[in-house]
Amino acid sequence: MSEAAIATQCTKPDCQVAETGKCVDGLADKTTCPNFATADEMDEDLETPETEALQTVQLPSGLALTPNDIEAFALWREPTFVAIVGDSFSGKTTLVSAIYDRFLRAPFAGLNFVGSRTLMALEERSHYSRVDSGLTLPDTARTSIADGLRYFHLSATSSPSIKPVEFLLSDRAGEIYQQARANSARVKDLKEIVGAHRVVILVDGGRLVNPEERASALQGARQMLRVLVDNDALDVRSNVQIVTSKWDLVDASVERQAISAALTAFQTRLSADFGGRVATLTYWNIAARDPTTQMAPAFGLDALLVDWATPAAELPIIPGPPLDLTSEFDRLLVRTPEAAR
Amino acid sequence: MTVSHHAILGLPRSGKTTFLAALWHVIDAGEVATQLTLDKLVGDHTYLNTIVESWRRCQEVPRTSMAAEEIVSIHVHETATGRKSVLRFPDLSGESFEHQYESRRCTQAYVASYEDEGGIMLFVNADRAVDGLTVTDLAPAVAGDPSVANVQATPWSPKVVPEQVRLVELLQFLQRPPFARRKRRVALAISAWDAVADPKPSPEEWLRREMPLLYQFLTNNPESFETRLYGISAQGGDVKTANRQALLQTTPSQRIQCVGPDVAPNDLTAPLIWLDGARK
Repeated sequence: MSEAAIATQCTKPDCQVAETGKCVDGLADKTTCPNFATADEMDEDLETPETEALQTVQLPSGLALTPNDIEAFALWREPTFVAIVGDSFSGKTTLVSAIYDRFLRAPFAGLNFVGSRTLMALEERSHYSRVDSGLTLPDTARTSIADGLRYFHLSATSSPSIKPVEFLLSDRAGEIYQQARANSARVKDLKEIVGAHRVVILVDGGRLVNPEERASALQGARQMLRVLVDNDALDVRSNVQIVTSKWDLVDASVERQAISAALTAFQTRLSADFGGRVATLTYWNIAARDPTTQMAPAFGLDALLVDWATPAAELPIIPGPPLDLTSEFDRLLVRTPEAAR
Repeated sequence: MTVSHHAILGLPRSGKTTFLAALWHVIDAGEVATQLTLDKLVGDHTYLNTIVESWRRCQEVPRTSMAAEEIVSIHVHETATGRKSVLRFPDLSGESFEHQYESRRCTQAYVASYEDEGGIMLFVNADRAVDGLTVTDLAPAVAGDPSVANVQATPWSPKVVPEQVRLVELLQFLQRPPFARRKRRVALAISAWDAVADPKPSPEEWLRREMPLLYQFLTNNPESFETRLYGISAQGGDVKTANRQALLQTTPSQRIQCVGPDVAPNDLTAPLIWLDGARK
């Protein structure tokens, strides 16, 4: 250790022993002075238990979970994945915010709130529906493309004695789904779809009320389902829910009957064409946040949540491709009579 | 003799320090029957004596600032059994908890304070402004009127998060590392109970109605929390109104109101007895 490192210091503010070598109290032997210390000792003093106690530690962020976070999450609890798929402005995030908003007020859909690892994210996304935002019309914060794939977490149970359901609800910018529809090579990037317990494909009810947009809104949902099925993101193990959002607008529309007829025809065709390619294909209507309050708050979301909380029926085992048996060891199994295996 | 380390948790103006002041008076004065009694006067009680002076004068008890946080130790014995214990509470400021929620950091000392077995006194104030209202709650007619133009929004910040959500988050922190994972008793004190309109609900009904998310959280996490609810008026009424003169005429300990399980009307010590029960 260098001489500089063991420079003498004194804790008395008026003592210049470090500079002059003279003790302000006139002590000849500096080591007998209770205020004297070497620089190293001074540093050690800074690490007293008291200062250590004031050091801070990081706590969980409460932000939306990343795919990496999900891996750690799955080691802790068994998640129930719900992939929420839809174009921009179709109401994906509003759907999640509306469910959260219900839990803020009371148990919802027969479930009680147990916890959430993403409370900050849920609060942030709910902000523009709140009075504190200063808005006079409710809104939802948009999900950015740059955020990539994120998940909201909600833990809920029907009773304290029953293990809670750990919902992980996907959140991704609608533009990405539009791109995947346009270019099937991008389907493989939609990691939230494969293995999801439920896949929700939103039909934007706001577009259905506009005759110019109606056919495109329906066709967009159909094309989404097709591209996911054709590119193996969905298969006979998948439970798909076609959910018409903003049902309050449909319900209040003067063209309600025409919309209903178009929807019924759309659903019939969809079931005929894709019903056999997925485990279940079901149809739902929701009004997550009717600003006129004519419809019940979170209309239709209670039924959806109950369905998500219900374990999917026993899933069929899909036979894989035939094994390429190349070695003699592999062939041994084939040659061995079944009774002897 | 056992040493009980209990945590006190609550946001600013939730009644934490007023509770401590009233407790300090009631266990020593002997004016009303209490389940805990001051055993001996040892240690530095400067802080408690400061806050109790304001309380006795029916003045607002000064709020704890982050700079003036204290660890309070009180030597007590159970009136019925004579069992002695030392109650230790860190009197943390509400701003400390706000800061913890917003910065997502806490001190090592705070983590260490949960290493010992002990319960949590959790405070919420009944005399509070409603928060977390949605636009459609406030003015559905306006919200649905397409002729009403939207205005510039105020950006989100953690400061606008409803109180019940912040409290849930502060309690959720305790369920994960670096905090020791164990089941803790939570005595939830609804302060300013006098401000609850008549006919008064039970404390449980009040929490279910006013802070439903917190209520659901506490009642559906049996592995982490065992909760009892109390309605507490440590001052006995609003000391900022003409009511103060009437309160001054009352024996100080008799101003206190406490409702909840196994509680005598003026006995603030009942929640602490229950928190301590987990140790027996």
